[in-house]
Amino acid sequence: MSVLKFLKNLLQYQPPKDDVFILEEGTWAQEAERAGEIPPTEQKAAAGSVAPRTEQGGDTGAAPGAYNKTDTPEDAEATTAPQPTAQREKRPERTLRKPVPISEKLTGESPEDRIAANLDANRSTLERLFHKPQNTDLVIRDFTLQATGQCGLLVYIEGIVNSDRLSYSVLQPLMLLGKARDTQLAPYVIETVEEHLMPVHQVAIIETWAEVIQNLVDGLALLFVDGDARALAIEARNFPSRAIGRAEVETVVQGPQEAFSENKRVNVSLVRNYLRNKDLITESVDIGSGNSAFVLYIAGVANQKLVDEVRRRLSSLEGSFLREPGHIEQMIEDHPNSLYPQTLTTERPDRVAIHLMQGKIAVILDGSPFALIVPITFFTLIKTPEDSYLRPAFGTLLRIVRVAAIFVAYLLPGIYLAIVEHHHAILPSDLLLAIAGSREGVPFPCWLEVVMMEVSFEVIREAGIRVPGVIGPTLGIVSALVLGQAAVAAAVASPILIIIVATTALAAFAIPNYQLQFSTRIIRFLYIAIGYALGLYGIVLGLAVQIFYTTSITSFGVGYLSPVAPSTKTDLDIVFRSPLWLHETRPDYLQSPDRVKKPRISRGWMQEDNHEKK
Amino acid sequence: MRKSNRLGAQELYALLLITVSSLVYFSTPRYFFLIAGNAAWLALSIAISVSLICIFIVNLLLKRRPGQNLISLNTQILGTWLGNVVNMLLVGHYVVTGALIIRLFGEAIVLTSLRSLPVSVIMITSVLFGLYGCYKGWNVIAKSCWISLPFIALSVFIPLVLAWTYWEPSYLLPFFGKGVDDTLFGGVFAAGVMGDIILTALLANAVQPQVNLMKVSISAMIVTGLIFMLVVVANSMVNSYPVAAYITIPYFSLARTLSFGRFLERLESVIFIIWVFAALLKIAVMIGTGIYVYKQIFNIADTKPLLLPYGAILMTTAIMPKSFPVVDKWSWIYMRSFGFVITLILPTLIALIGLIKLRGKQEVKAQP
Repeated sequence: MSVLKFLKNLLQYQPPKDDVFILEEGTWAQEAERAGEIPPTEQKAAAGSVAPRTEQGGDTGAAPGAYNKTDTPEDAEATTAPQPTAQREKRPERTLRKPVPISEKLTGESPEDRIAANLDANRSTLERLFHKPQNTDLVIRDFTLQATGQCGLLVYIEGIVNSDRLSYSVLQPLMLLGKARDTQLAPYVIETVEEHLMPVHQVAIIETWAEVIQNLVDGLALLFVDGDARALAIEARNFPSRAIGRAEVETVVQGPQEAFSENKRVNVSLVRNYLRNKDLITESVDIGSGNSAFVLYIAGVANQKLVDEVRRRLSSLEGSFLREPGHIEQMIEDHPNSLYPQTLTTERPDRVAIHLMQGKIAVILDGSPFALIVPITFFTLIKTPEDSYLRPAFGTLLRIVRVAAIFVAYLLPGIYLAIVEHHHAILPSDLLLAIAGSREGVPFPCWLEVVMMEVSFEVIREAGIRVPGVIGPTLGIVSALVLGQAAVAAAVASPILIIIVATTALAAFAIPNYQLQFSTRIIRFLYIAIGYALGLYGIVLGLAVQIFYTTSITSFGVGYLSPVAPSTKTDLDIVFRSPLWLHETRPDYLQSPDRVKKPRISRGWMQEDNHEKK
Repeated sequence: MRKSNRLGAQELYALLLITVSSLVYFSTPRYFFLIAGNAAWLALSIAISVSLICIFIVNLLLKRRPGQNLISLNTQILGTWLGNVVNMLLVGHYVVTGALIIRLFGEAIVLTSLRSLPVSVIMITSVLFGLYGCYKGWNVIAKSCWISLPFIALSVFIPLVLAWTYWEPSYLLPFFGKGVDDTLFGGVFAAGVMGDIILTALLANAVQPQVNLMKVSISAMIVTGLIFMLVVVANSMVNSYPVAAYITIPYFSLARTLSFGRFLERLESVIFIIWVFAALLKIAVMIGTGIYVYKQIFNIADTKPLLLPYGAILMTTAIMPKSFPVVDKWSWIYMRSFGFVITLILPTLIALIGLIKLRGKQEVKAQP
């Protein structure tokens, strides 16, 4: 019983009132009342705007301002039991309620969440919401409108707006232009400003505090005018971003070199540069609290059900910091615990354009130089944009090398261990003697030797990435050489094992997808274990399990090994690649409404030549 | 474009091909030498013909009743009680065959490569693998078969073709081997070896409606027959009948004889990998089929609760024989007699009864 009470007391914790979050039963009206904006008599009506929520997040249906009823007999007993002190009697029993952010709270659904007509009230609300004076980024500029003589406020967040535009396109016309003191305009001042005094390409009238908060953090400036319960949102965004740079993760020898930057608008324009298509749609989807993503697809090419599904998954996301494709992909994948990536992350606009043309969907986020592409298959991960820029034979060769690299990266140390421990008879005699000779003097069992070298290599690799600048790769090479040489000289590892670990590492680097590389690194250790325990039988068993698993997973409903298993119609562009002019259709697994990508005869000059010969 | 999660024609084809033909990796080809001596290939061709006739008749019935499988047709034709007895016989068959295959597989692995490993470890891991496949479903097993088909096909054909330097065609004579009677009747009863082709009929309702079951099963049977024929003929010509009849795993032995230069002298290691893979797929199919039939008989919605008990029953059955020769003997006796009856004769008879009963009735259109 005492344990239950202790737990109940723990649940009664209340966060401080001046926290960033407000409690559920403390509605906007109560907040305003605390700030002195609404008289206490109106509080009850205002508090009824949102029903209190339980800690599970569901509505209790309780009366506004009331606390949750007790659920258990123990709770009931505690509630009805006589309280020892008068102070306790005054304090009603409360349970922990899920805090909700202010932005979520101010939904604009009730009149209390609307902007006030009183400029001072608006100013104090803004200062409270944005934590002034602690927060110095919020700028509130007072001025008088030349046109009507009313007082106005220009509000923005310093550093993320274009101050020149505000000075010359906003403040200058407002303070200098217009017929002086025309009081007849006063009731329509926002409309007048919007239509006649604001030479800015995008403006919008907003009415709720939720919109105010969202627009301000999005980098827009807001104009409040005394006597008008609305505000004018003015496009003045100027988030700092770097210039378009060269692709660093997905480099190619032949092909475009530019990559995405951190500005999603710029990224979309880069894609549009490759894809000058009227049907390319850029749809904004709100994700998490206050973030939005651009969903790109080609209308009539992408399957509408797929588009709806992507939109549904994205818009359902909850979280305060979903800004990275890495975050988003973990939240929207079909199999989040899988070691296989089910979305493609790319920094190349040309790659996004190619996939959009196939009927796939791209997601671009602000603040990230990577785009997500869905759905994908395993074979998407072994392709690079360069494959299609080269002749088919070259592209095919590169892909065969990559497929071989994947097998080597997964299996080589495991197979080595299996052969050395269980199946030395299958090696040719000379090779067997060479391996035995090289292991002479090594004091460790073979499995320990393999694990030690693999772990050492992982450490070197991680250190090489973390060490900054030019030293990184140098450190990696030096460590590998020195450690390898020293290990052999000290008879800690055999030379053949050094060759095997190095080959495995090189093979892993040959895999074009970074996340697939990771999966090989983890699965390799499983193969080492199973190869040691069960020999080649174990390796095959592992492979078979891996094939079962891979065939069972999906990316947005598309089989991961499509178009091979399930076998669907597609142009020859999986591992082997046919010439470009034969790529006439979109992959069947995407179920595109427009399956034909280009006309059957895409080389018109061939047709003309044939006619001439005839 | 794929419209459903049901098996497509290619996947079903791969499933049948691997399930039936993977027996060439075990001691099965040896049985034909025991039956007919030098005329093993003739006995095999008779077995293939019998299987073809049986599967043709069963498919005729399935064609008349699209969207249904042999299990539901058994109850429709024979009545609920008798039909379910036949269906339970099928379950029993798959338990026994599955257990025999698992034990044979374990013993073969120990015999050929992992001598220090207890056979139970291999058996348990292979059963767990099979159960994992069943957990994932038919679609996954069939797709995995489809992916591995080219590699398995290569592993079958390469040793056979590479062994051509050792071929001695005169070993195929005399034409009727041990005699016409032995060859003919032995061949008919040995058709049980191909009994797994009945999978087409068992999985008929798990296949996409547009798939032509007759075409898929007949073509799979013909290709499987050709593979068996190649293995048996190659073994006859390389080892001669008296030797081939006493080689426990003829295919592995054939691969072991191959050597090209100083490096390519251990080709069996490559074959071994593919062989294990094919055998594991076969085990998954055998376990999956048993559970599937059981599920259908008792109208069980989810197979997952059945997996572990079924696995335990299989392991218990598989561990019963004392040694490899005993398993081999049981396997031969069972496949030649009961297997033949349950997988080919009984379904064919029921199909004939069904065809007679349904004579004159209109074909039922398949529901997409």
